[in-house]
Amino acid sequence: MKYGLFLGCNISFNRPDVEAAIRSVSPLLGVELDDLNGQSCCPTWGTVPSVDTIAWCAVGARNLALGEEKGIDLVTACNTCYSSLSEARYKMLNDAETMREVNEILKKIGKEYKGKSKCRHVAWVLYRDVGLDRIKKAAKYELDDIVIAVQPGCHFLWPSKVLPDREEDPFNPVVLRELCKVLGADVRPYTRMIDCCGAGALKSTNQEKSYKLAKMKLECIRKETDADLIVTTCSSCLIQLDEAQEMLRKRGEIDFSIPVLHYVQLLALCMGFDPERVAGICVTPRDEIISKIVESGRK
Amino acid sequence: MKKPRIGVYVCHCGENIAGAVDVKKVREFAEKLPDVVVARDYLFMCSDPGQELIKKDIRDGLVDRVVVASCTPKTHEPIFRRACEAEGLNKYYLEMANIRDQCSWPHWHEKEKATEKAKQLVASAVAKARLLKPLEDMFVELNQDVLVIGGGIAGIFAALDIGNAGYRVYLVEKNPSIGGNMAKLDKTFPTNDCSSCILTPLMVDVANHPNIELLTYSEVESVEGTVGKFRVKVRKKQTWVDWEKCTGCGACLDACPPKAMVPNEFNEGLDTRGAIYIPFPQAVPRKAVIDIDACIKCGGREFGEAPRITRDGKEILAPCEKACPTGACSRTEPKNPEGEVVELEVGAIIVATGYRVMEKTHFKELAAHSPNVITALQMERLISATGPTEGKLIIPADIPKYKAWKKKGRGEDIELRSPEVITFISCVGSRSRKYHTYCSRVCCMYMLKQAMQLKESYPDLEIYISFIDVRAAGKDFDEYYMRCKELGVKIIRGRAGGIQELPDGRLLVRSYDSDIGKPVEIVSDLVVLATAIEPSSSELARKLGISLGVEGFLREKHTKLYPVDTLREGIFICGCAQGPKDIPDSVAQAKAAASSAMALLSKGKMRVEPLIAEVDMEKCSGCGICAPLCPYKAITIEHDGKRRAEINATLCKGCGVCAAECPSKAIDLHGFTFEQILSQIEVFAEFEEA
Repeated sequence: MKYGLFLGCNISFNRPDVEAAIRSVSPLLGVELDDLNGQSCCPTWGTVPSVDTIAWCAVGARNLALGEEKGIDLVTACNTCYSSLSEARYKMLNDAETMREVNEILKKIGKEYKGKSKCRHVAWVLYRDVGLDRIKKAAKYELDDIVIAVQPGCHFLWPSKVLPDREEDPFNPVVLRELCKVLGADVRPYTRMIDCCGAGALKSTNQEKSYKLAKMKLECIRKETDADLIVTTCSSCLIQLDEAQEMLRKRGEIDFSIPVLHYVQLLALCMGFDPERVAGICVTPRDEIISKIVESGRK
Repeated sequence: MKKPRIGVYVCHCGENIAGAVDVKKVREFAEKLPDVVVARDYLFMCSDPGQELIKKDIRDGLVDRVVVASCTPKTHEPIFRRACEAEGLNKYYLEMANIRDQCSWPHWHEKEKATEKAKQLVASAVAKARLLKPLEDMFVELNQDVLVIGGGIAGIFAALDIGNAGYRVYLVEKNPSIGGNMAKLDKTFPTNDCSSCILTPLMVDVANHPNIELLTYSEVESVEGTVGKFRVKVRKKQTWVDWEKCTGCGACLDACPPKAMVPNEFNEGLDTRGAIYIPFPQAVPRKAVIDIDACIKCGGREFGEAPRITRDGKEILAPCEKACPTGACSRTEPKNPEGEVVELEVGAIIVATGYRVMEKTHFKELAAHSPNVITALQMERLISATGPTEGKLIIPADIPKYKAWKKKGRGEDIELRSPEVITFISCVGSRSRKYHTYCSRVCCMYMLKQAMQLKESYPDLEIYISFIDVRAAGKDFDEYYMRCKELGVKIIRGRAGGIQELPDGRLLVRSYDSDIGKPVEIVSDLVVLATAIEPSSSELARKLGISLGVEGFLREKHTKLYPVDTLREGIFICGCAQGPKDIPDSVAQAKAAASSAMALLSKGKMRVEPLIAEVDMEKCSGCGICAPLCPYKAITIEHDGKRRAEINATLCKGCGVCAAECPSKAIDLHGFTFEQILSQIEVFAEFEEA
């Protein structure tokens, strides 16, 4: 199992601990990672994709071509990269004219994208390629008595037709829940599981509305699940739920604190990696949950 | 030969033709055409004074050929033919030029060109008129029996009306019992009368009617022939129970082991039934059948095998055999899995195959996985006294619990959750670009009905209905809606966009209320989806050779004027097979279809237009190319013991395929001869050259 690690900007610059987590767990799960030298922005939503489809597809195709040249798919831990690259690929595969225009541009830098390589999401690679059994065996700690609420994130689910791996029912997603359950956690469903976290475009255009969505989601998690931990598959959801939560607390709008982890961070912790390295960056405190995992959860 | 004297009559059709075509110029043009002795124009040629213009010219001996330049022959040719006939002129001396549908309407914004085209169409009709020949109508004998397909409320009424009029009816129903979807309903709007109370007596009437032969658990396999003489093959499916012996006592109903339980169709899957079952208590005929796909063949014994014998000489019978007191359910007797094919000959066919309700599984965003999200038809079953809970209102998730308790003899008290908040959602799959663009027409009313029924029985129940808008256009319908509001049913204008399940199984319904301009969220115990009415299978339409509309419902010949006719003469349609409609409309249409069928058959013979193909035996070489091409199987390659094509006049529909294909030009189509058609084409060619 070899993939090109597509980091994306968020993880590279804001949450390098997620990168550390991915790089730590992969070898033990039989996943080989290529650094995919020369990768750029995916490009993210709200930038090029909003104004120029061909430019979006060309940047995406260039990134995908880095993998294609080596005969491998990409893997990312960011929902934005996952969906931007997947939708660009979908557009190119379904419209010969777009594909032609894109390759004309790529030709200028001596590259070509044939449509073979795709970008996979790390959660799907873990679920489908690595498999739940292997994850269970690799974990050193079991999440006994830990209640988790998951946040799959919009771009992990929609639009499902463009994505390489699809939930059977995107309105009732199970993959992230299964991944958490196999670590022994009590994963509880809640009504606003598939609601937007408030990151997305809203965060840059209307911060108050963005906070409102985050608040709705957090309060729902608190009320319906009383979770010890929120686990997400998306770097943007991670940052939003972690940072907006702190802001809401400071303003006195909420009076609770629920730590947030990316799934690969949770996995790395369960596999015994140094918490400081794989889950060191946050504003909503994680110390308590991390010590609970490490100290009381030994198999 | 005497020169023909042609009269040309150009119609304005009010503004329909005159709005685009300069009628006066067309008339003046027509006057100069060869053999035209008179040309006139009039506001409505089909009106009495318009027809009188034609009649008078014939009467005065002025004309002996008539060309009417107006609208479509499909609706108006019979009118002008009758006008000719009334004055003693052979009615096939009429030719029409369609300068409305084929000229003024499509070229409404190119008036000059439209006028030019109208001239060409008239010239071509005149050219043909010069070569017209007199023809005589033919009459064929009709079979006066009628086949009705589908035993729901529409099929039942069609069969009863025809049977009561003294004609023989075959009523074919694919399920073991007649009754259709109406049998599943609890009460019916707008009078809230009990559905089975009004339906059951009709079902019994059908079964006892001396003129109606009921073929249940049967399906139409093939249809051949044409109006007056359809040859139909009906497959009676294998019931695996001897209906001669079955008394419908129901002793077998609880015999099946748990492994053989499957979702119960009559209760829309809210509970289960065994492999041997009687569809519902009031079934007609009340007979058991074995669902062979569900049957687990207890003891590994196939049908036709004798039971094994115990050491003390007793037969080891299957539970259903053991339960049956009359020996109707016997596995020893071999049975043909293919059933039996019955051949019928009928003069007309009425199709009343109904609808099916769209399943909730399409709507994942509406939490279709939750047992407490149900379709409206499931709701009917839930509140019905013959439903899975005998009408006791509990949340569907608790039905298995209720069933188990009932099975144990209703011993100790059990806790069953009754809903406190119920939300209805309208237009689920209807009026939607993603699924069906049409309105299912009955949902608004049945949601109001169910809400009213619930509110009357449980006044504390909180009920919300999320509508796009309320469509209550029928007789007494809006009054019904008002009564419902007065009872305290809460109306939300705005369709629900999503439902999510709460950890305790309740449902968060999220919609937008356009009246207050805000999103609203309702935590509900039970959600009812008004899923769309969908057409039943298109397979039958293909067998019958009738057409379907884009949405898959059977298509009528003309939306307004021929609403129960089809393009295939002698085949009529009614009820929801034609489009979604409520019970009053279905019944009205069924009666219309019955009356149309009887109008066709009552004389015992039928006029056939002589516009059919005929073989010139001198020219025919007997090559046989024409026979397989004929879509009506009207051609045989034998005539007086010689190898020649012969066309059966009663089967020929005058399509002309054989005439066009015949390499020896030995076949001519009366009314559309080579000569006539070539003369029309020549006219167009002359225009082209000019």
